[in-house]
Amino acid sequence: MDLEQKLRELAKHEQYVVPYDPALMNRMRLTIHQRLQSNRKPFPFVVAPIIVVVLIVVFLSGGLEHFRAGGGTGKNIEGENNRVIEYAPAPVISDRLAKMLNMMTSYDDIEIKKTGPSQLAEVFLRADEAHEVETNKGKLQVVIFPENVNAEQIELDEDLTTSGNITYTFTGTELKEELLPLRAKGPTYVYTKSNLLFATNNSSLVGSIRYIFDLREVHSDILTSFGLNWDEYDIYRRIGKRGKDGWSEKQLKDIAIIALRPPDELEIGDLMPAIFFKKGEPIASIIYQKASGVNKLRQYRWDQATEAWILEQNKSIQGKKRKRE
Amino acid sequence: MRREGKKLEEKEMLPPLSILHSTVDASFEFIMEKHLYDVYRLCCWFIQDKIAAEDVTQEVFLRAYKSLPGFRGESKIETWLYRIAINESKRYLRSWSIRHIFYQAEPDVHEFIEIEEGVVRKEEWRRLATVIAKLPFRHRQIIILHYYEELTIEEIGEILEISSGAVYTRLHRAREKLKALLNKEGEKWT
Repeated sequence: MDLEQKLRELAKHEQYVVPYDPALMNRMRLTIHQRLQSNRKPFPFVVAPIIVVVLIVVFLSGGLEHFRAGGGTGKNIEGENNRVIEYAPAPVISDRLAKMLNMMTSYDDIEIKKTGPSQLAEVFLRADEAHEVETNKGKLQVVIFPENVNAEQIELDEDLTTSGNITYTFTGTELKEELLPLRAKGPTYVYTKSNLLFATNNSSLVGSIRYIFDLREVHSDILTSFGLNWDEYDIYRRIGKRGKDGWSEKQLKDIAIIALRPPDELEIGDLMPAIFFKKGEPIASIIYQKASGVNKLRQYRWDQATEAWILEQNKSIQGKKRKRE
Repeated sequence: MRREGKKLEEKEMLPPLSILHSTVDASFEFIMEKHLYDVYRLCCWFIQDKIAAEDVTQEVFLRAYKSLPGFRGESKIETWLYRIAINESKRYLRSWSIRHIFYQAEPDVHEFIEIEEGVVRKEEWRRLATVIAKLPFRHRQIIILHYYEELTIEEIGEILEISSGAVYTRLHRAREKLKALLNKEGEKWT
């Protein structure tokens, strides 16, 4: 028997035997955060007396000024080269930022170059956090409010009357007045969605963000209408942009051809079909929406034996009819 | 769903190194979001025990978090994570407690789908998977990285920090070892 061939066949099979399980991933992520916060590790009790002696010696020699001053939190983690890393336990917020960056880069050509603290961090009294995200299309201020805050009520109030001294502030939310008004070199563009606020001086960037969120919302609605969970899928936009979690070139090309040739022909006003790959399973779902608001789903499974996408489901359901430009 | 001729650098966008230094937490979240599943699956393949793989995956990310500010960016994040995953898996399998105290589960050679594949082929795969699970770690790791993960020779070399030539040699030896074990069972593998 040909070992090389059998190994490749076995490998193809093995690639599917550990399915993507969102619950398991979430549990692992939470556990990692808990462990980072508590810095728990099985403590070798034999070492305890030695550590106590060392601590006493160091303390007496004045090496623990930091702890005497009350600065030790006990939650720091020592990195390589004895560098102490401050761990700020804000997993939910950080997770939201990570997911947002992931969405932005999945839906558009936006590349993240740098992230850091935003100038708006202290301005909004009710904001959870604010980041400055530097992208290939310009800088973007991202403000994340708690889930129960509707950022869509917030409006930009700009004073462009004095050239070279443009100032702006916001209305519709509580602000730290002493930091206002904010100054800008040019016009500021704001986009708000749910509990998020984006501000930038680049009009095309704000347009991209609006497009991403609108399209994401439509896709999410379509998936939900068929009982599918957006979090379990990855959108696929462009062949070759990324390795896309291991899909082969043939798989990608074939599904793209299928997506563009729906059985009921596309009409003016229809949403372009989008391909979603299920995480951890050889399943591709093609979704789109007719101008009439009817949602369409065609779900394919990759058949390794025939090396082809096999249609598993072909469904239609009335969805939300949308106004399109 | 592994790729054909997977290129690690094409895999996805990652924040550059400077970001990793300035926003460790956000970057760490991003890395977890993107790689948790990949690392978990790799650990499953190495350890052959999903429960233990869960623990080892956690260790990988804890270690990655600790080392993130010191990450010099000389390799890709994925390469770096895979390297940690391999080391942690090796550490787990070599740990004294695993070998001496705890019950060690039989390698998780899962059921093969009978509907899609012929019974004969299914049996061949099962036998092959069982023998791979018995290979020494250095041989198994190269088989997994090359065939299961579908990494190129260069990428494997980068992860294991060895030359491409050394990867070819190790791969050849792993296949020879595998062949020898299979042939011991009375079948002719070429």
